[in-house]
Amino acid sequence: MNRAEIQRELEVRTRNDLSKVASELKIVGHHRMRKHELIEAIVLARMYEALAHTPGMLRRLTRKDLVQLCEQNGIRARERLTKADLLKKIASALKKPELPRKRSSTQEKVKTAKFHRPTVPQDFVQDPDDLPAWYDETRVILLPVDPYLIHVYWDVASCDLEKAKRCLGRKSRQAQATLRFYDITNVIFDGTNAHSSFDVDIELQARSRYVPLWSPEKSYCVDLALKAPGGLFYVIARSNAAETPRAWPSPKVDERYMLVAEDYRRVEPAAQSSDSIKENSWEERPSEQTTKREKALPFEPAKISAEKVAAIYPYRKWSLPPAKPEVQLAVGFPQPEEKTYPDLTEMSERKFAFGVSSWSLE
Amino acid sequence: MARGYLAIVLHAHLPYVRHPEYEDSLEENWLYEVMTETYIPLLVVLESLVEDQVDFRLSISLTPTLVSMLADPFLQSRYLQRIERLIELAQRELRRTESEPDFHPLALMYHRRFSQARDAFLNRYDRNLLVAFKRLQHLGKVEILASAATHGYLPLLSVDSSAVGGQIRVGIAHYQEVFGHEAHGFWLPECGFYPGVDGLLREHGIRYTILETHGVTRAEPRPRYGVYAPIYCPSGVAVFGRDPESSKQVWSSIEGYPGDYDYREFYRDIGHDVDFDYIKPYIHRDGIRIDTGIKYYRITGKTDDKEVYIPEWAERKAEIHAANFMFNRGKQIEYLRSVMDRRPIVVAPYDAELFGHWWFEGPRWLDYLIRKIASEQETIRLITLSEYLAEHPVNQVATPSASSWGHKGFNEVWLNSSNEWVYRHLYQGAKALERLAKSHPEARGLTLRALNQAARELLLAQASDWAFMINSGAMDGYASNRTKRHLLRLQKLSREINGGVIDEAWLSTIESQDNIFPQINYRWFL
Repeated sequence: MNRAEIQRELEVRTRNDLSKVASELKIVGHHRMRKHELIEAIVLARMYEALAHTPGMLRRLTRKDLVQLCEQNGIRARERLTKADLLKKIASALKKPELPRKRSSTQEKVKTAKFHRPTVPQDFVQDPDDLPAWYDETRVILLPVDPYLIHVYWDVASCDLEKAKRCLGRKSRQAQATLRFYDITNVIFDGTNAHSSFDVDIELQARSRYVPLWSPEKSYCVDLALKAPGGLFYVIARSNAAETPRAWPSPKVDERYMLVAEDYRRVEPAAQSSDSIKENSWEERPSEQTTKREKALPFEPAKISAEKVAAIYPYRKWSLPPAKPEVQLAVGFPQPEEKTYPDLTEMSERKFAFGVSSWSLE
Repeated sequence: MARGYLAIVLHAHLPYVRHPEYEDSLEENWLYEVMTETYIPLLVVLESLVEDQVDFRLSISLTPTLVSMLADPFLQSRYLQRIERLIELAQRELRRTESEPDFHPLALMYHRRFSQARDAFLNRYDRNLLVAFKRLQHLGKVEILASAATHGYLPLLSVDSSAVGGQIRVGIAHYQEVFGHEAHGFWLPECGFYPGVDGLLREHGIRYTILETHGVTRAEPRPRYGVYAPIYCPSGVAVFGRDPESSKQVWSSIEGYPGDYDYREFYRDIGHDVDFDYIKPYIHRDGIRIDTGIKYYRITGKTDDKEVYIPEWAERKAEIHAANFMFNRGKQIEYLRSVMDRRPIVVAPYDAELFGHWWFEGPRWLDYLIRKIASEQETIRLITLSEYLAEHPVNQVATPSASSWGHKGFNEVWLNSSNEWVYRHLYQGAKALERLAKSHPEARGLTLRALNQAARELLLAQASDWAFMINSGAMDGYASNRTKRHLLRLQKLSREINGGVIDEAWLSTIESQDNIFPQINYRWFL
């Protein structure tokens, strides 16, 4: 969760993308901003959103950032205010952010229309029993809502709560229930190797919570714990790991192609008996695969002769994808290919407006 | 030689609603309405295309819940009653509108449509519409996709892998049982994808699935062809992305076809408009007004003063819109072909119930579109996704991004402050079943029956439709009651199985009510 990281992430995006993000975040005047200004504004807006839930983190910002935050959010702050004053100002301006809004769309209207019915009393007899409000089992579950929002719900068995309180002893009365979020993107989490973490104080009885996030495409894991004075931190339960979705196309260009085993046998039945096939067909020997990448690819295009593929694709002007993307990336800019293709991914992404379904009928 | 391909995919789905315990069920009407307005008209269109030897390809996903309802003798006989009452109502409408030259031809039209639907249902399909879908698949014109057992929204069930495994396994086994061969394509409910679900599909022999645009455009590494060629997940499942342009043309409020002023207005139904005593015999027996399907007005404009529907105008618009759609796809494909080293594929998935039920002229539009593509141009060819993969077996490898086709593209529709409560209970239910399956590996007799019924109840509770309805506010009472009912039944079964005392009479009752998936095996939920 650090600022430089978010910044780096934003820097690879084009100005147009950033502008789109900025408009989603309702940043005033984003049309007139330069790229670096946009990045600044987005970083702050994201932080602001997240801060609404974890005001304690405000203290980590510099005074300059706080001033800018105030400006962006229309909080009147004079230059000579101290950091402490600024913090107070912001804290009082922070309101609970809105939860996801309901809004129906064309596609959803059609779906709702399937279940169309006038407003009438129910004829469906309700079962006499109702589901319990919670279960006497200890668990914390993380469910991502979208790239910037995650839902957490929890149950704590009464015996586990008792045990926790016993452990904390007299300090348990001052203990604060908290959710500690670990950023475990691309690590096998062992409890100590998270990239970063942040705490969200909770009311145990609330049993669920939405937590806005600063940046997409992360893996999180949560500890539900009691925090007591003197640095005591008693973990009651650890959640599942959850991944938040990507919010824009990946900048990583690494073209590899594959043929699945069934098609390989179909396309080249003659080769079926030869030993080379067995090597290529990963499905038959999954245990020998070492890395994920190798498992993913029955064979690498580079290993097949160009003629072999040309036979499958007589019309394809087969030029292997840029041979060493790694080298080029190290330089910083991909070198132009013989023929430059338009970026179809970018095109599709641009035309795509969240399922158009988000445009209401009226 | 075609320059590129168009794959039209219709996703047909309804949740499992069957209430023999009530004499008249409002919710069962969802099925009866779309049978009359969507499924039968679509089949009529497709069969006429076959008769006229028009070459076409269409992909349709029929969910296991819908398939089970279409094949259910109890619901079939209720549908027959329903359509016969509608014909009776249409006859009364003929008399009522005799002196009204605007409405009389429309009453005639509905009378003819209902009679045709009844005739097709009874005589041509022998009460089972699946026969017709199977025949079209057999002819190679239509490819039917499998789907999850009860349309569970997999990204939010994935915390418990046995829950997702059960949905997929039961869905695929059901497909095999009904259609007699292995499924190649799988419709992910609500296009809900998360990295990892592809591996489970692959285990069951699935070759491809379809995602919303950003599921593919945000794949890693970046796909070279955007959504205009499939990508392979590392597991080997091919993923096709929805084309944003063709979905916009149908869905957009600005340029979308179904909102055209000449088309029929969905919300003006005589069930709500005419005299109560007159309509009483044809609505719910408790006097609740319902949609009858007889609608006399056109959209007219952004006004409440609706004008009379004129079928000829609407028909002409359907033709114009089909031509426009084809023209745009042609231009799009021409362009894509010029910048791609392979033939592009444009994948256009829609809710099947859009056609006919909401967009009354939809089946006509589809008919025009297919005929025009077959006869008036050479740029586009219709294709099924299997055929495309057979022709283009080498594709880029990339991991798609988590996504859905719901509002805002992720999980929000099914997870927000209105419906979040269901997940605590669904998780508890899935865990309970998993524990039961582990502790009873070799159940027999009554215990076996109870365990299988517990699995059915879990699946029925997991349907994404309930969370959807709770969110949209329409029918939320019914939806939350259904969620609760199945989970309570599951909990009771679980207590009885663990306690070793099973109430057989009660078990038989719920077996006959929630009778989906007779071949289910609780061990699939391990």
